[in-house]
Amino acid sequence: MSSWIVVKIGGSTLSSAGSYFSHAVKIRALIESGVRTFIVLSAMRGVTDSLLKLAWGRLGELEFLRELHYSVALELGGANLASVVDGILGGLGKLASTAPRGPALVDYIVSHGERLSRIFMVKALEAEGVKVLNVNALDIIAVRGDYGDAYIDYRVTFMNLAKVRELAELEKASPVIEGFIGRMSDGSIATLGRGGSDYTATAVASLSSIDRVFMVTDVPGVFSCDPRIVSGVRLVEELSLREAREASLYNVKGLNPKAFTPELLKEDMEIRIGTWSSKGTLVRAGASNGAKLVGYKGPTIALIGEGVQSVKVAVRLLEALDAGGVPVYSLEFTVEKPSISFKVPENLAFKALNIAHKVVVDG
Amino acid sequence: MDVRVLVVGFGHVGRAFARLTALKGSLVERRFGVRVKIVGVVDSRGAALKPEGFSGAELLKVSEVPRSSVCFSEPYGVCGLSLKSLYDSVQPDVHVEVTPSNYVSGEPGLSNVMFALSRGANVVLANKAPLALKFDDIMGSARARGLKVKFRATVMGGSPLIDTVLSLRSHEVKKVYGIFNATTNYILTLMHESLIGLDEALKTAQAMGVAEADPSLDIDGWDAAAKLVILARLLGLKLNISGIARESLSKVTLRDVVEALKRNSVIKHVAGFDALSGEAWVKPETLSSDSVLSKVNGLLNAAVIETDVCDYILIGKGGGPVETAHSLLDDIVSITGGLI
Repeated sequence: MSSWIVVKIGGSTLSSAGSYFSHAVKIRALIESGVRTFIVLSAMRGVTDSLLKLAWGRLGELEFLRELHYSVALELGGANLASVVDGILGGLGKLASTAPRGPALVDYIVSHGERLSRIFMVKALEAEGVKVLNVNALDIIAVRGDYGDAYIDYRVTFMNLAKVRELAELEKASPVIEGFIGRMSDGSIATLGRGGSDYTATAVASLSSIDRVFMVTDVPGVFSCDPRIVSGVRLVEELSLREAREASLYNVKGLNPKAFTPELLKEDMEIRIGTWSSKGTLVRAGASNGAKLVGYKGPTIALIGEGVQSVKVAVRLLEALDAGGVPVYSLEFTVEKPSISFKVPENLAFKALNIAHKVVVDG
Repeated sequence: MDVRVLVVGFGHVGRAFARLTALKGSLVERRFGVRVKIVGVVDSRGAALKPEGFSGAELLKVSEVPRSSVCFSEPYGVCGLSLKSLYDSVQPDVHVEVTPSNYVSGEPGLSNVMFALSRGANVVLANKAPLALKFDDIMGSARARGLKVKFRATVMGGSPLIDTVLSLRSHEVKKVYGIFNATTNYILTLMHESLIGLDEALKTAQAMGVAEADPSLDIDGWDAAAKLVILARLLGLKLNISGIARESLSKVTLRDVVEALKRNSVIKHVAGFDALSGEAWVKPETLSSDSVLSKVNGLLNAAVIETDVCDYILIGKGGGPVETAHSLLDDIVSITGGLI
């Protein structure tokens, strides 16, 4: 185990100056315990959606964005920082109202959520006495592909990250970088799509040979099913890397497909998802077998867990669904994937989720 | 070997250079034995100075302060110092001039560069104006003092065009032409690909940070003309910026673009000079779509160098901040000799 950890601060936990200070205190404690931190930032809660609306011409969003960022800036960096933030948001408003709209412009505008968040986190960390490397993602994270859904150029980013690690080691400082954004080869800014900050975090870890990632969220971890649909969900304590990858394809909250792409997940990697105070869900190689959670993608539902891909579990699942009056259109499992997926009528999908989840709970 | 560097001008390029030095300083030191120490960064209102050299973390931090505010950055900020006081304080070996170009007076870059030379500092420029207006004076001053002036960042800043031209020592260059302005090429590319007018393409370019709020230096050909002067002077030709026939891109309409496309051609803002006749121009030209320059799109630049031996074509990045910053750092290493 290296002494380094990538800490990705989720946007759901960032809503005020206090929330930045709170994270800064935890990070300082981590550093004092002998752990080196590489911090990846999301935008504040609600900001990405708001910036997207702004980019598409909803100028009214400026009020929300100003109110939120101005007060945080004032508290973290005084009138100077507040004035800078005001200038940035004013510039974005001007762009949104006058410039011809296109995907590149939308990404440019949306990227500012993470960029502002980095500025705030750096201020909070410095106030806590943490020595930081204020790293601009546009210098480090090289991306390719489409605006709004770009992917990281691992080769170039690897070379860039090596320099950050070297400088961080030399100066005993914690790098702080924005998630979700990167620089295209033509110099423009592109975003990585939903969950892009998680993707940045696992990429930074993997490419920097850091084997631990902590994704800090506002929920204690990954649940066994969507609690809005199913009652009695429980926290999943452990997932294998394959299970996490599979679950990410079925909209399981906290797990994003790009962050769990196989080329990023090294065997010795451990990814913890949860709050600072919870034990969270640990994603790691060698996690125990068995059905762990249920995800869904429209009317396609997946029972996920190493070892579930068996006739025995499929029969039990089909019997439970049959007993519940849910017809199954198709069912699929292969030895390569730790899941059984099945398709049901759309209007019975929630019922099927509850039945499948009971199979998980009952073991 | 330590090299003390003062960065004068702290906009996009100056900041990119500071960040680059922070991140690649160790690499340069390992490969060339040159330790680049930035001892000061200067903007229009003041400076941040550290005579013993900023650390990497400090450079990354100062690169994030708001525009024209480095003098407020703690604990190294100083407001309102003269260049003389700055030199007294940090005594740089290399002066990096990255202030904005002014093709009327050359200022503030011209005075800054002359002052730097007078104080015994080698000079590296990204600002074209001093060279475009007073090339001989600057080089004469440097020669008289045994100092070096490097300016790879001034023409095709992201590509080694200047180095390439300088390397053709026994060639007789007949003609140099190409696309030397990324902003106008980006605008023309948008006009051709999206079939939009110049105004709309310009607004998009401004929104993307490719074009300045006042784009006239690019659109009216001043920027490309300044680059021609620098290239011509490298070859010993006495070309002046006022002697270059400039045609603005502003007269190109969407109709012109459509007509060109119908004829399987494209419009490019081409700049060039004929070394034999002394003729020099910047103008929109209609090029057949099978010509090399017609395929150079977006932010790319291209140069064609025709010589008595053979022709050379260089296609590469123009001057984005990151690319320009690399050219500045390369020039600094080159001035100091390096190990290789």
